[in-house]
Amino acid sequence: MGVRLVLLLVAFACGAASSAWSDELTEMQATFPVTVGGNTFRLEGLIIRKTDAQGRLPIALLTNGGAATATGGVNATAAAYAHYARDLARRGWLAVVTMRRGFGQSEGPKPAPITCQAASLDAWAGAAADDLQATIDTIAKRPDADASKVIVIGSEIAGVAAVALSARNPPGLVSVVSVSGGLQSESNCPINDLLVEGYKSFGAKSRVPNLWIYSSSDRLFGPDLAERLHTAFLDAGGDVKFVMFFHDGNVGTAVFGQATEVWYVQMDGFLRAHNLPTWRTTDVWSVIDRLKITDRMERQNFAGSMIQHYFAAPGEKAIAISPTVQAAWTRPQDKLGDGPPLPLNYQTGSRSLDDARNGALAACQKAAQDCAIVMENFHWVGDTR
Amino acid sequence: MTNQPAFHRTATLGATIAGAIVALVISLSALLPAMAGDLIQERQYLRVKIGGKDVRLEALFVKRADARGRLPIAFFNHGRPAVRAMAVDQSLFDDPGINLIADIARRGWLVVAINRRGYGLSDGPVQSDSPCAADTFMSWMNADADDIEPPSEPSRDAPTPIRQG
Repeated sequence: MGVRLVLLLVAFACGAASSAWSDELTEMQATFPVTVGGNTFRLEGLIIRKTDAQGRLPIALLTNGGAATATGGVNATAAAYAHYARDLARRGWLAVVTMRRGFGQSEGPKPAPITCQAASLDAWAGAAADDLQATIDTIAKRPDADASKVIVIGSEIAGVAAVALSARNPPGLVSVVSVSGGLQSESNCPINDLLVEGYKSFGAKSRVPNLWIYSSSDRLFGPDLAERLHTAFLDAGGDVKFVMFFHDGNVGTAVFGQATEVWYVQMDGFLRAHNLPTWRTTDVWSVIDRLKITDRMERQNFAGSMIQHYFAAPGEKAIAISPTVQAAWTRPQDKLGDGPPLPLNYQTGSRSLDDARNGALAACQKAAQDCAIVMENFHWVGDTR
Repeated sequence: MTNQPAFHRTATLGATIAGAIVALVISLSALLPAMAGDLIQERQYLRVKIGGKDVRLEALFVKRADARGRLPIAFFNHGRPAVRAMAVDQSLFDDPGINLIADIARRGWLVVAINRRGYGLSDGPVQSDSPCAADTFMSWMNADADDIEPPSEPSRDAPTPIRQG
């Protein structure tokens, strides 16, 4: 059924971090010591959590990716991943960003370029998994961390790092999410066969549920390679849910950053299926009840749009409605035909909650004078009737 | 979602008896008693080939606890949720159609219910889009048929258990 909800979607802008990003989150700079071969290195990190969260929170670890090679992404910073970490923090996680050795402000040598020899790939994967494991070990000591529930998320080469960590089955690792996971060699040699072998060995050991997301138009890690990695991992005994975008989210290698809400829909469903924190579908129906939408078809249309374009959407977000327009708005019962636009406006992907509120209000005020914010991020703030 | 009659009505599993398949090679090990005591059920992944590609589908097997030997198969194929974005939340285990599954299992069948691509923990995404466009309708139906066909055939590969976080 067609979705007729009128949306205001503002391009997701990720810019410099602000100290007053949102009053509901607390952001902390952090360093994580990692000891390798008797030497200790300090890794640049960032920790974001809900300010009012009580007790120990499950850990969602992000690491620098967005590069196809071991030495790529030289300008990466932890702050560049802050908006993903905020999205996870709002879902109830202790969100952690760690920069692997040699990146950002992290100490340690940069990884050596990967040559087309198995030992080179193994050495890189081992070192990347060491960095992730050391970060988890450090975070686990925090009084607000529940190390019995850890997920690791990465894109491109960081996706490979996450899968490599899953092959160690560290205690508490309950899921990994690899988006456009893959890598290339700096020497442009044909590395795919080696990578497939690597994934076969990961699959032989990994007993952690994996979620892999790819785009069928990806030119770096396209369907042919992704299918081979998938088959090798499954053949060896690995546990992976494999999602190949061919319509929504089919933006090539850039899925992580450019189709964020599409893969968030998949991640959120995967988290729910494994009883891990995120928003619930009951939250969506609750908002629809509070908006007093009673028509069956309209409820279903709304639910679909709300999930895809609001609940799963990244960034700060808000919904505005005009009670006057809402009261005047009617829809024939159980009919799908064209009708007047719904008196609801929302903005997602904002850099601050104020921006989201202002954007939603401005859109609403094109049609009414009595617009009010009823929802901020995942919280209903409107009328409690 | 559980308080949404509209969603449940359309998501209810519809019974499709695929017919008795004589050669049942799927081994049912480590069955978990979770339904009524006279039935046993097991959640497993089925690995199938669709268009030459590996696809893993989530499946639920139910049979009588006192069943012995090879059973004929009743294959359950779910409907579409009213809210497409809720496909990933479709649960074979919590679906109200579970009662129909139990009814058929008690009649001596091995009941197999699967989530098609994009539903529940099966690989994804959903293979079909706008249901109202005539030109997409057949490819939509064919994609569904692709999902149903391999699991209803005797499987070469043993299903693997589903691990939950």
